[in-house]
Amino acid sequence: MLRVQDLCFWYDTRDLPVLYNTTFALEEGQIVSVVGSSGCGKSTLLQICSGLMHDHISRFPESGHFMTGSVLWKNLPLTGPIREFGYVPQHYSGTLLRGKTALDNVLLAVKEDGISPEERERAESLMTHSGIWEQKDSKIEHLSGGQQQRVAICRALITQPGVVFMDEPFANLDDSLKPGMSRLLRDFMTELHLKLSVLLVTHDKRHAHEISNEIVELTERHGMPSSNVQSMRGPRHD
Amino acid sequence: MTSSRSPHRTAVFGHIVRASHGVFSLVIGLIVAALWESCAVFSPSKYVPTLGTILKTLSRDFLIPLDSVVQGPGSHALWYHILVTLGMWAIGFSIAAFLGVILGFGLGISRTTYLVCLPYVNLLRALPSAVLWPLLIYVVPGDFVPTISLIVFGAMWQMLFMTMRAVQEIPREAFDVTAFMQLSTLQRNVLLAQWCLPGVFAGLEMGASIALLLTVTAEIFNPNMGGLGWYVAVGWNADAGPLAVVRIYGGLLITALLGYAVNGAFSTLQKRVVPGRESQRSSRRLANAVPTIARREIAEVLKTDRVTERLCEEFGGVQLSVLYQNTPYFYPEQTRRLKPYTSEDGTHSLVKPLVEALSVSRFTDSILHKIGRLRDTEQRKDLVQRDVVLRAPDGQPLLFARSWILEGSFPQRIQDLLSEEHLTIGQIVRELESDISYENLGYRDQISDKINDVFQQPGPILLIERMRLIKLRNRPAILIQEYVRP
Repeated sequence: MLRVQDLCFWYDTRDLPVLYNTTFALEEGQIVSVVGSSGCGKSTLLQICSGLMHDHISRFPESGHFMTGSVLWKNLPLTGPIREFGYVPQHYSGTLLRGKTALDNVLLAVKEDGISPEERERAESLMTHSGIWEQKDSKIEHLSGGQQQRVAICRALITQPGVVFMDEPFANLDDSLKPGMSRLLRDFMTELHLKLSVLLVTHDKRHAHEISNEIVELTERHGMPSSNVQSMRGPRHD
Repeated sequence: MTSSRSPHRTAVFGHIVRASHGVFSLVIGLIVAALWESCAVFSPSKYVPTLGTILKTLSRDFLIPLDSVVQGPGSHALWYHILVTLGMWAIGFSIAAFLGVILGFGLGISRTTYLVCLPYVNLLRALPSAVLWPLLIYVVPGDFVPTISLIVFGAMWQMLFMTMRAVQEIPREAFDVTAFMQLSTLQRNVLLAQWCLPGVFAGLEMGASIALLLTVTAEIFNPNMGGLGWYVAVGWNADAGPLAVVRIYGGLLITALLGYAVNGAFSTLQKRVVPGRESQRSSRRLANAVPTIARREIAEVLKTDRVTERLCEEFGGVQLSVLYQNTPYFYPEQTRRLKPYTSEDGTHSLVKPLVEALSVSRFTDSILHKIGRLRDTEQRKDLVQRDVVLRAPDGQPLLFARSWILEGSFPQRIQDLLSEEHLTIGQIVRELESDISYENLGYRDQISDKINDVFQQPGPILLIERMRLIKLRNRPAILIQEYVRP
């Protein structure tokens, strides 16, 4: 579905590349985790794969960012964010609208032609599985960090995307909540039968192993700033 | 050391403190009125009329009938002048708000437009609107249009800048997330606009006051249409009798009350319409009951800007201790191998554990990377680290903040201020008001036993950590990491 081929990326061409000859693929129904040390380009890779970086470069050509290689979505080159993708940023709380309820925030993403009964049902199903349906009428600022994160995830899924990109989904959670989040992602794919693939970035290798079909580790080699790719199979081989 | 005050008692104490503020304000007002009345009664002078005379004249002028007004604005019918002022204010403010918000949004959303237009905007807003008056009456015919033009020109800049800054401060993540939503371009922009409502409303609130000020000023310049400006500055001349000075005082009183009402109305509207307003109110609650405030409320406060400033302003007696500052180290070479350090006189024993607890946190490290990435292509940057503790008047620690400052970003006078020991970062960069923007990077819970010295409590303590970025001309310049104990 999503194929990254020989990707190199420079924030500035006078510097060394942040990503170097990165190649991997994300197939339907898979969860792929990108791991690596701080600053190795994990989030950058996520932004490129989601098309956000393409959008940024086209809007700010003076930024000096430059990339080579290709990102293919269903064998077509990706040129920007598309509606078949969903995105959950690391700092999700800033993306939730204060003063609105949890349900309103989830439904923000589908308001183009009004909200259909199917979309409302889908919201209920997602929020029920996330354990936040009871809080649907609570103002977003009255929810805990973990509950807000679930709202952000439900919002990303309400549009029925093919791929969801998640930046550090465990970073803001207590250790006790992390397994729950792993289960939640799996539940979405199995119990709700979502045709969903997930590309997530995390520094938490242990949880990456628990949740992923495949792990992409960005590594430094021979003094290169980052990121030759080392792929390995996760414990899950569905 | 922990507070011996119970949560309930502290909340009650907070209410009593707030109520006492109102009582004190009233008492001050009554004292001033009594002093005025004493002067007027015991030392009679035509320049100091009694309050009774002022109020009697105002009420009499207020009841002057309509037929005296139709002959022209020379009448002292107060209700007519108030209506004229309010009408001109409403028209001028509406146009200024429309232009200010639309242009501000345009400048904020498009970096190219911002860079191209900013010099001209700065040039124009530097012009005091009053000096345009001769040009306006020379070029524009009539009384109405020059007056409205003066109000619009003077009042729109504040709204334009506040809107522009609010748009620029929309979290980048909000742009990213909305890019994937099933929304049209218009719907997406309307949605994004909701993130900047607090800033826009703050601009409207200020713009409304400025518009009223300019309305009265314009009425002084242009007396043909009447209004409170006429009543205060010209009307007394039309009646050179003993009531002349009384009407000046009365007009000033009415103008002040009108301004107060406009501010109050906008403040109420803001509380109802703007979701973020609640967090600002929470900060007041924090100031009144910090030791027992609910965790959720602290989290709300941490989403606002200038927390330290608010604490300083509202506590009054807040003590500020700058623990450590001014030893530069270089990014990125030394970031990961920072040596524990002590203050020059060796008195700050907590500094070493602080370094261990904070500097090596992955969260911090990633943000330092972010600064390095976003700023420019230089690899080496001089960073100054500055640690500050704010304590309540009773000595209880309220907040610990650590800042990393890209010192070279700032003009020399700001760099000098940064070495002052009695100012917070917010107070220092306030001087650069129009160039500064804040970006909240997030907050999270943190249980730590490394900085319990700071909070004067043994063992692990639960803290809320907040990271934020201060940008100078849209470039990261200061990273602040703050800890508040819920």
